[in-house]
Amino acid sequence: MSFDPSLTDDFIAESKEHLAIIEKDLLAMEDYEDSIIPDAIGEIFRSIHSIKGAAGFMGFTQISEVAHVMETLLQMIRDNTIQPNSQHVDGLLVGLDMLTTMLDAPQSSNEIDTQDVHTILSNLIDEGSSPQIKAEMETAIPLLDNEKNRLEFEINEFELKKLPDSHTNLFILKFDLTLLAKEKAISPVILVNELMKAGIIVDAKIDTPAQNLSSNLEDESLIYQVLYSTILERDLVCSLTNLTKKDVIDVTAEKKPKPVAPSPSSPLPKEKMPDGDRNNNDTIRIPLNLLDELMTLAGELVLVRNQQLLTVNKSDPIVHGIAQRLDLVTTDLQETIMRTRMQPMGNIFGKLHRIVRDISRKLNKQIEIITVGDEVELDKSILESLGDPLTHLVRNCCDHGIEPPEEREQAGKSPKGLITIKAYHEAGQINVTIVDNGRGINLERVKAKALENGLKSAEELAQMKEKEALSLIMAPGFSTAKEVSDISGRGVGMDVVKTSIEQLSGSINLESKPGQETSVHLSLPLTLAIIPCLIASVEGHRYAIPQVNLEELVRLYDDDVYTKIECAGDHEVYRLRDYLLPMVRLNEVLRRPKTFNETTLTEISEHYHNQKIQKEMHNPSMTFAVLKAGSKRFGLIIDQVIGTEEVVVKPMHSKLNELLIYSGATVMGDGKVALILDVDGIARHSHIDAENRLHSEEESELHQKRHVEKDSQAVLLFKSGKHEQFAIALPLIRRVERIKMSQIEQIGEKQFIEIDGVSTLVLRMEDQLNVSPCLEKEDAFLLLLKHIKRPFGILLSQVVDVVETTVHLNVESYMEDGLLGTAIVRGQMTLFIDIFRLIEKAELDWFKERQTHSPPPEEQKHILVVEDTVFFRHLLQGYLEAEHYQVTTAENGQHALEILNGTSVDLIVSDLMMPVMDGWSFLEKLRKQEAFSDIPALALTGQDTDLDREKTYASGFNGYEIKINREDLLTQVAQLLQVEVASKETSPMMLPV
Amino acid sequence: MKRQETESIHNKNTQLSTTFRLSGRLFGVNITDVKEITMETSFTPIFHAPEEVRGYLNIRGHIHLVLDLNLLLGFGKTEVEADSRVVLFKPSVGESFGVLVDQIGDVVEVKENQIKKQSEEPVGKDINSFNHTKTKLTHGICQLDKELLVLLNSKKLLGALD
Repeated sequence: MSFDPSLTDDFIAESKEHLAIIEKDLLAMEDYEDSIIPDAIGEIFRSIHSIKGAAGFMGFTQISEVAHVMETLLQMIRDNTIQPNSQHVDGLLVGLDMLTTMLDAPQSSNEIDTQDVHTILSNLIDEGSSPQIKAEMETAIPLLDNEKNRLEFEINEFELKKLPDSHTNLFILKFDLTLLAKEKAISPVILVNELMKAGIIVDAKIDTPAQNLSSNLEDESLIYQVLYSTILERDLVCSLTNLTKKDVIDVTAEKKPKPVAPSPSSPLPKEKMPDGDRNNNDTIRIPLNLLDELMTLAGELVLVRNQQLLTVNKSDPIVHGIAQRLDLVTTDLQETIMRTRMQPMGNIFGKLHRIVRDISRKLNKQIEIITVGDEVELDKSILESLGDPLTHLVRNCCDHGIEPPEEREQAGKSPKGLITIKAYHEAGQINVTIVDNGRGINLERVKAKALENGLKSAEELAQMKEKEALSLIMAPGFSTAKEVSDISGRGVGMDVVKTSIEQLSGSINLESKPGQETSVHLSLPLTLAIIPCLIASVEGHRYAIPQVNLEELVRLYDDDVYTKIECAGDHEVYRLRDYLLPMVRLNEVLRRPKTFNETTLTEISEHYHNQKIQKEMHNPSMTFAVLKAGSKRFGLIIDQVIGTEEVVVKPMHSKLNELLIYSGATVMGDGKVALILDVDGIARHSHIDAENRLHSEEESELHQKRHVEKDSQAVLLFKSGKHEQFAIALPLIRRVERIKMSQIEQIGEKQFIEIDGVSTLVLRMEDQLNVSPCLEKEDAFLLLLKHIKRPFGILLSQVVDVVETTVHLNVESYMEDGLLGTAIVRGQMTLFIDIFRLIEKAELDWFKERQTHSPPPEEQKHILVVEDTVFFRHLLQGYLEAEHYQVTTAENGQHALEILNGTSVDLIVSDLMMPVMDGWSFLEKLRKQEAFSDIPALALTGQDTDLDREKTYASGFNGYEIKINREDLLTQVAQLLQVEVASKETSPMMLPV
Repeated sequence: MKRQETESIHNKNTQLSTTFRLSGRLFGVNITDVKEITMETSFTPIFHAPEEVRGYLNIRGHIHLVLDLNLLLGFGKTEVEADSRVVLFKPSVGESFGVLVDQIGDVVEVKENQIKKQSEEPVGKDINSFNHTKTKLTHGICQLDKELLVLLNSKKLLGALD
């Protein structure tokens, strides 16, 4: 139907209010089974009746029909034709549920199948009706107008009889709804209410040709015909309804019913009293935006008050007094307006009674529910979102908590279980506790379940405190019900409750005394319209960060500012306790409207790292807020913390809805606007969640490590000359020393500098490679290397960063002796240095010693290199091939064994820590096969501990080298090969130790 | 909406315009669209918003979006100076917003038949600098005694952000 949507909304809102009252009354009725309260029945009757009337003329025929049947049943109860029992209440509740369902989507209500409901209710009516009533109901009485013409309406005898005696006059009223709505702004709802005050709507019709229903009704008149029974005379009806006489048709029933003797119990006269006391709560409906408007004005008044307080001359007692009063009144006004948004908890508590009743029936349990604090008020929006979690909790109590009566009796408890729900104010928050005196939570079962679902390991569970174990229930994917029932425990359980409570900025707490009770405690804020925020400033502008997202504030001083913020991949990170926290700089976020990509991230981290190295930052301290948004955590670097404040949230202008990083705006105490940051939006904007790398704390870090070992390598990026960027593998570096250019001494063609009391040779890149000369500035760095016996350092002008980079070196585009190859790192071509080759080029004589010890072999020896890291594999291969060995490579032990099956080798050089099959097991396996039992094997590892050494020899290695000292490695290789040659020629074989 | 507009113009024959200066030129909007004019120019910048958005301004508890009208019309960015004002529009014109102008002028009464409708005739010399999308903001042009007055359609200003 094309009614004004706001009209439909009114109808729904009003009908739902009615339904809420009806439900409450029905349940109350059941409690007093023996003595029905006529008041309650009357009330229910009235409510159903007005739903029926309104629905009928909104065109929701199904709603109106269901209401009609219910009304009939109620009528019979009211007239004492039926003694109501719980069956009747059940039936009415079923009808009520159907109405609720249909009211949720009235537009499609006409398609809903209501047959079941009709059947249930009609059966009840049939059972209770005396044959006489049945007959009456089946007797249609045609209605006639003054000229004795038959009218469209029919009425059965029963309905006619149930009209109060006083209502002797029957009319058909014809309203033009379109006209009413347009010219007098009278909505159908209002109209019905008006009519019901002075009489009874027996039946109603809308007179529109069916095919026109969907077309535009706006301009056509919509005739609403009402069969109206009233005490009023025709003239009065005309003036009441503002209808002309021709639209009020006098009607007579063909057979005037015999006057029914008024039964003494009939509550009718009372019912007729306008507006029953409970219907009229002295309330009016106010649109929310009007309240928001009031809120805004009150806020503004506070500002004016603040300004006024500043200018008031405090010494003048009169002025001062007035100022104080203004102060008080303003505060009161603000609080009162806040209260207008508030609704009592009772609104949702009411529903719980019904739920408990239904479930206890279904489960054959006896459960009573007591609610305390129905009058405690809380913001409408919070109240609405609280309904579902609370329902779920209560269902849990009924299903899991309260035991069946037999079990309770055995445990020495009363067979009737009790659920107590209490709401109260405390510390500016609303607290809700739900307690059941059931069996409590079985901790062992919780743990067993957690283990079974793989949520926690057995060790973790063993160490858990009681409280922690209890909170497992709220972990996603947890349900302790032995069997999944349709009442609770559908696999999504407490975690959903927890999430919804947290979304409301609340918290949830569980406690359990096994065998006695389970209690759930909820804390909720009073309102969401005002949220506590941290006010921070960046580059002179203030921003509000919701406290809900805030975990902690961290401040770094002095050198920590430069050293504690590290780089992992593209992101800046901070190691907060054991957690790698990605860092986001708010000023950069604000500066860049486009979502960050890798280039942006690199740009930012590089920019700050350059600053860091050159200590350009003047600010010796840094503040960041640790923020949480969903599963993401990150540090937001801000300039300054101003304080915390409760701010009134205003939505962003609709033209700016696309901006991710703000969730709203607010007016600060000084009248200026501050933006409220959307923490989740910032995380998305700054690409924090890329690759999901920081989701679960330890696992991801482990994963990352493994990832690194496989095909990437940490390298130090540095610059010497103006242009080129160099890289050198981090494991080869001992340290980087800060030096002064002026301290370098020239001796002959060589340059030396004193480091740790030792004269150290300074090697310049431009002397060995075809690159631009090192920048001549006073502050420079000297790179000292591991595994080099002679004092020796490479001069560089700038340390760029340490990065993890995949090492697939390009040797085609540019190659020079002394390089391993090139790769693009951070968008720049980077030269990877072969440090040993460089030294070799610089100081040939350093390596002569080894060469004499290992004379070049007459025939090429074949060496198998087993190494998982691509970088080291290439490096080793390069070194060995340079010595004229033939090299085959394998990625792990397994791979190596496969190769050995088809190839003969003279020597094996193997890494120890490798995936799939490590070096030790590789050797053990190898030595078991006779063919390979005497191939010499050299172990390579990064770890130099005695334990490793022993284990290594035990598994069958002949030698042991630490990664990666080229000189020693080659010497060892040569020695082992010689031993092998020797052992073949002479005997016995000697193992080097 | 259109009907109402033309009605009000036809019925009266004259129209009152709030005028203001932008980069030296005279512009105006229908006075019935204007809620108020404020001297308050301390905006809160909104990073990531389009360039034409100068920021948020609080006017008695209501947050208004302030647009740079110079930028919207294709002139340079407005420098906020002593004469700068913000013209705020009524809610019927669009969700709470205002425009920053260089200087506020008089209220000018224009006869309906003096207004050359934008759509009817090509744009005059003075506003050649407008690009195509910006011309859509113009409602009409009117020759005053000394200079040209360009009447803007205030209802289209917010839309120019898209």
